[in-house]
Amino acid sequence: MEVKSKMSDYREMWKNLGMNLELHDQLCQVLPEAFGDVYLTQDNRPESMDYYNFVVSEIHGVRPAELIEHQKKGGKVFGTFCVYVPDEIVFAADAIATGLCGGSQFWVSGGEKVLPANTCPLIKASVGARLDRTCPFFRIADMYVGETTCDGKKKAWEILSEDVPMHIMDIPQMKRPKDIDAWADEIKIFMDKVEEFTGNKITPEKLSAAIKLINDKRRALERLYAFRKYENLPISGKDVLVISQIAFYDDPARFTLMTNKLCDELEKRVKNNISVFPAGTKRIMLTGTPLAVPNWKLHHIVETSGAAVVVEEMCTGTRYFENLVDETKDTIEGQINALADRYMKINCACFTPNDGRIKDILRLAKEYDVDGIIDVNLKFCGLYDTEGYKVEKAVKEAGIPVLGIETDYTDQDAEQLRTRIGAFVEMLGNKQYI
Amino acid sequence: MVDFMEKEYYIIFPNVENGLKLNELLKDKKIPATIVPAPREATKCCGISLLIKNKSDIQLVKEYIADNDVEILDIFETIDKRDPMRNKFC
Repeated sequence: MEVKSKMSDYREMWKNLGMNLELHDQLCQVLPEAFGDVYLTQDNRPESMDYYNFVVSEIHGVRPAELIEHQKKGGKVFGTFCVYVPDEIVFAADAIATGLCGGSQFWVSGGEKVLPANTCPLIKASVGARLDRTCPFFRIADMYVGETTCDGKKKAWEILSEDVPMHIMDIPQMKRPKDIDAWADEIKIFMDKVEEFTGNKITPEKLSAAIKLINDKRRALERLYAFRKYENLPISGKDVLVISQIAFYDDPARFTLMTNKLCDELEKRVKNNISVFPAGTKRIMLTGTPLAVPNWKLHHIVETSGAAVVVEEMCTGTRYFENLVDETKDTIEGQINALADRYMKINCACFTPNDGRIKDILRLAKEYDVDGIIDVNLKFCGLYDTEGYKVEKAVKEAGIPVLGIETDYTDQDAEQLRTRIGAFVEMLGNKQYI
Repeated sequence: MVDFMEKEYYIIFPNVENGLKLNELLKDKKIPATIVPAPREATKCCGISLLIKNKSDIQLVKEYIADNDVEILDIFETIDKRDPMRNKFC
C-alpha cells in the first residue's frame, strides 16, 4: 500500500491545525483499548484486515497528513456529512471529499454547549468535534458541504457557518420527477460552487473519470458485501462495519484496491468453507440511522450475543454503495442527470413517502438470508424513529422477527441492550418467511 | 502476575514507514504480526504498532529488526488484558 505520511508523532501537525491537544489526547487514550477489545478479540480475522487496522490506528494521522499535502499543492478539501452529497463533483475538480468526525460520545458534550440536548448524537458530536477543535478533518476541510436531510442538521449548519465556509444542498423531500430534476439543479449549483472555490473547471472527461473512481469504490463494497450472503461467513459484521466507515475518509482509489485485495482473500475462504462464526449462528440485519466511526456498539453487542450482523441497511451500509452512476454519458448535462438519478435512489427517511426503503429491507432480508432484523435508531432522530412504525409493521407481516432499539453513543444502556439483544437472538427460530 | 500469564509484545516505531516495513518483512517470513493502535502504556503517540503474540517469535523479530535497519522505539512487553465482552464504547 502507498501512504504519503512518514510521521507517527502527529502532535506538531495537530498543533499547526489549531487543535486542542490536551482534549484530543483523551480520545487518543481510549481508542487503542476500545479497538483491542472490540476487534482484536475476534478469532480468525482475514489477514487483509491489517490495512483497516492500520487506518484506524492512524485515523487522525496518515489521512489528515495526506490532505494537508494536497492543500500545500493548492488543492482544496471538502468535508461532507451525508451520502447524498456527490463526491464525484469534488474529485472532478481535483479536490478531495472527506467524511468528518461524529461517531463518538467524546464529542457530544462539545455539541451540547450550543445545541439542545434533545438533538441526535451524530449532530451533537459533529458540532462538538468542530467547536472543541478535536478532529483534524474538521480543522483541515476548506469548505463543509451540508444538506437538508433533517431539521437538526439545518440549524447546525447555521452554527458551523459562523466558523467555516459552508455550502448547503437542498435535498427534495419527495421523489416525483420534478424532485429528481430539482436535485439535478442542486448538483449543478454545487458544481458551480466547487469550480469557483477550487478555480478548476469540471470537464466531461474529468467528471467521467470521477464517476468511474467512485463507482469502482461502490463495486468493491458491493463485492465485499456479497461475501456476507454465504452460509459460511468469511468475515464478521464488525469488520465490514469498520471498512464501510473508513470508506468515507480514505483515498478512494487506494480504498478500492485494498478492499478488492481483501475480497480476493475472502474468495479463497469461501472456497475452503471458512467461517468466522460457528455453524447455526443467527443472521441479523441492522436497519436505521448511520453508524459513524468509532461507533461499533451495536455490532459488538450483537456479535458477542450469539449472532452475526450480515447486512446494514444504513448510510454506513447498503445505501452508500448500491446503484451505480451511469458511466456512458459524455456531456455535463447528461452526467449530472445520471448523478441525480443514482443519488435519488437512496431511500432516506427524510423522504415522504419512503416505501422504497421498506422494499429494500425486504429484498435484503432475502438476499442475505437473515433470521431477524434490528431497527436501530439514534436517539432524537424523529424521522427514522417515526418511520420505524412502518418498517417494523412491514417486516413483521413478512414473518421476520424484528427488534426496535433507540440508543446513543453512551455506555449507559449497554447492559440493557445486551439483555434485550441476547433474548431476541435466543427466540429466533426457524425462518418462516419466503 | 505477568510471569504466569500469556505475554505479548508491541513493537513501537518512530514513524509509519518503519512499522509498515517490518510488517512486510514479517509477512514474508510468515511470522504472525498484526498492525494495531499503539497502546497508551507504551507510547503517548496515536499511531501504529505491531502486535506479536508468540513469545517464541520475539527473538527472531529482534534479529530482523537489526538485520534490516528497521528503526523502532521500543518493544513493549505486556499481557493480554483485552475484554471481549466490553460494554464501554469510545
